Amino acid sequence: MKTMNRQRLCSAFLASILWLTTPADAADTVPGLPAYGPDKPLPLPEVSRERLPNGLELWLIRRAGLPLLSVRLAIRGGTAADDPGRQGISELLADTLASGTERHDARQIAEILQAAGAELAASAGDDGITLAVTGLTEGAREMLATLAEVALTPTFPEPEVKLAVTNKLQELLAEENDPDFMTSRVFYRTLFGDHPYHYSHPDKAAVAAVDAESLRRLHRQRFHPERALLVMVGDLPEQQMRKLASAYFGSWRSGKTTLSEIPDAPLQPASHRLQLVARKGSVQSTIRAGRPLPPADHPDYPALTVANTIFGGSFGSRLTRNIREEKGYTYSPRSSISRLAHGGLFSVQASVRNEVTAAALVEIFYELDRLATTLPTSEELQRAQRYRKGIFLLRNETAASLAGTLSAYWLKGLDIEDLRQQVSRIEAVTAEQVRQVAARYLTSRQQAVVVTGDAEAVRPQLEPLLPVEEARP
Amino acid sequence: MPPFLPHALLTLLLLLPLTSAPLWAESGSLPITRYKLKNGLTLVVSEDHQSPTFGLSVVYGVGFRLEPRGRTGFAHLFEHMMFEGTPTAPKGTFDRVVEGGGGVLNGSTRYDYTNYISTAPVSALEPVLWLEADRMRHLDFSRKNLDNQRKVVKEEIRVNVKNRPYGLFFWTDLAALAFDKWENAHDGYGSFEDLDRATIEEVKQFHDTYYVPNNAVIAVVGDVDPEQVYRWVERYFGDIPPGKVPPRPDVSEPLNTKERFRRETDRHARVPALAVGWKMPPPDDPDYFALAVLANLLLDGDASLFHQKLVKEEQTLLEVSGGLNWPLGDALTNGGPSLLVAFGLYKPGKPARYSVERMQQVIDDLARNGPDATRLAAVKTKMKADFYKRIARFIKRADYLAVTQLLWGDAAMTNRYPERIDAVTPTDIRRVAARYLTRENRSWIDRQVTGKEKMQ
Repeated sequence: MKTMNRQRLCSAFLASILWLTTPADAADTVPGLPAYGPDKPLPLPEVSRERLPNGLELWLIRRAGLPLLSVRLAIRGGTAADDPGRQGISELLADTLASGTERHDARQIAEILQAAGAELAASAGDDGITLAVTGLTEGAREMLATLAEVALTPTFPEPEVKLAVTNKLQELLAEENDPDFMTSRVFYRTLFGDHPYHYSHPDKAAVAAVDAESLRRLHRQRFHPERALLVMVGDLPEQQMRKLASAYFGSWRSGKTTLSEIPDAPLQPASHRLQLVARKGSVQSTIRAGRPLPPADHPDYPALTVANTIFGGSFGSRLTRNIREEKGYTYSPRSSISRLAHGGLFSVQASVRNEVTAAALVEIFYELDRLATTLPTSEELQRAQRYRKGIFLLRNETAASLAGTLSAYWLKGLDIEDLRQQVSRIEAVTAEQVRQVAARYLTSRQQAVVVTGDAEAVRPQLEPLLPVEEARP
Repeated sequence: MPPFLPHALLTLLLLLPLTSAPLWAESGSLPITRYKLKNGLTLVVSEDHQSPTFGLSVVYGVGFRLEPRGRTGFAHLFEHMMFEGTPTAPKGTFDRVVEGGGGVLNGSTRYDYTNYISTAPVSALEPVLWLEADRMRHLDFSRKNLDNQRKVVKEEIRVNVKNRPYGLFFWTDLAALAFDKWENAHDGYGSFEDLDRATIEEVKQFHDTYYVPNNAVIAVVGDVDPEQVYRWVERYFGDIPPGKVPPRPDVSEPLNTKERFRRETDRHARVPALAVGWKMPPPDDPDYFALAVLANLLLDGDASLFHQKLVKEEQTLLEVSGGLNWPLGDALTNGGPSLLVAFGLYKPGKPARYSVERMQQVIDDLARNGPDATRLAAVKTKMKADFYKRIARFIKRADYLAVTQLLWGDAAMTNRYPERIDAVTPTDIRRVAARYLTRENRSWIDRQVTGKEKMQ
């Protein structure tokens, strides 16, 4: 991997693309409304990258300003890499990494980080486990030392693991009747069938089977420098970041274990029958529709991103205009595109009062099919493209959010170049491409649908629309 | 640039890259430029050229506490109406212009203010300011839009309250139990009956009364020139006439002298929960920031005393969260009486009161012995770091500046927050723990699961 020198950072603004100047489109209909000003060059993240001798990849960015440093360690292999029947164990691994090391107990670890202005956030996603800390730059050494300590030498003390298991079971019980929890369990299962991406929350049996030894074993399998990325973003010279990284992660020994290969997820949902999840006394229906998509590096994503923005991915989108601002069916309808290393998904969701459950679904279908069969207006296309460009800046505004974007990209198997080209790829999307990807992926008949709600109230509404099948979370 | 600057230095400055060091680096605090228009509107600008974007917050001095009696939820319903267009810029224009400018927007209603926030690349700032001025001037007072937003707000209440376990009881129900004055105790989301009664005439009257320049603060943060921002604001807001804002009622309340308790049942929950609230003095009280620090000492993160005691040691709570003015805000975003809240789900085996008494033991110990000095220093460091993390986003920074200008009369309060935190001593913690976090001043709710679904 090539190492860039720090000089490049200063030219961040020069190595950038110019935005087109565009009038505020509503201006012609709104007397007096000023046009947008000239667009400034779009700064792109300049990342210093290298590899430590043990294989650990380092991505460093200096961000001057507030005295903060964000550090993220990402490890390939998340819930999708868990053994079938044990899926979710990597969540417990993330939960208990900081519960004890050879040198410190859980409380001491939390206190050391607190004194640096930080706390550890560890989580397991489909494709990897991520440990994140953000704190004061003056506490950089303590943050790095502690992050390395919990990642490299956790001991998983028995009482801590037992407590984590008990609490996880209790947490599952607490979520059992939460409409979002119920819906997503069925939704991911319906989308991905037997593929490990069907996971959204662990089963009780899998949690109950976790003990300290199984976590130690999993840690030995997963945590190796050649499968890890360390990202540091903050107000610290890169040289200093590099030194800290080598000092605390340089001794991490590389290992030989390999993860089982995860196949690409299927592109069709496991079922097209509407999955009705009965929830007694529900005063709303939680609707979720969607489908699996290809892996993160697929070339259709820029157009899909634009299509999603026009459809339901922003407040000004067609879906929000329709079912919120015109019909008042729902508060916060939204749709999203998620990219994963071995697949992806499109998802649209809305929580609506019982009486309008089918009516809302009909409008969701209508807007999907309209996007797949007619061209978006040039105003819609341009607005969506400019929106995505702005969001690119806003998403990477802080040290913590930029570090998050970078580690998420890496876990999906994407490169910094993919991030740097994100905006220009969005800008190249045409109205015809939007219609094409919508036809390819987003038509109503391609979507799986889950509705969680009062079965008696909503079933009769839904039956004329789709074959209905009762599902249990 | 000062004229006496020597040539060599001047050249050096010109050679600096476009990503010049932010003004933060020079002073360790946010640069603040303030302007006041003739109509009473206050503008706060804070430059930061790290990102070619802006954060904007337009804050009005009206919230739940000032909504009309018999109209619970009105301030929030009104906030929705601010997005429904004006006679000049019809419904949908605002979203189109902000999103077409590459940005996002939102609004929220709190006890003492309502904010309208947006963030986008700087090229969108001028049209967005124009639109903010336009909706300060007038709204499209349309019955159809009111009916539409009434429905939307009801769905918001269903999704956040009526259809979900716990349903924000640690906000609404706890406030209702702890406070006596209607302004502080009523449900800010509102009852469906009250929402149904709201009329378009009331919307107009509310706008005329409270949405006036002398009851508003605008803050702009980001890659901007303060003078340019001022010129735009003067041009677009300058001729909006000021209003007569009614005097603020006295919403102060004494501390409670007897413990208050309520048992509730939750038809959606599967695991019982508890919430405790201690009444707090108003923000101008000398004890206020000591209480803010005490709240974090007790409740922030895995190192906190309540987490260590109840989640780790006693293992009676599944988790515990809370804080001062939680969950709707923090120490800086509060303009009246508030609660220090602790909320947690409790596990089978011990009744809720057991955990509440253990909390009280932790507090009583602090009141007697004070906190360990090292621990207190760490808590303060964490609070300052967390504050920097929040203001790292321009939109949040703008909001703090606008809200502190409105509630504290001085946006520089945002800059003074770290020193206010630093000034708190172990003795302060002892004193305020003993004075405010007492059994007598405690209100709490045991939220149980309904019989049939109960699992032990």
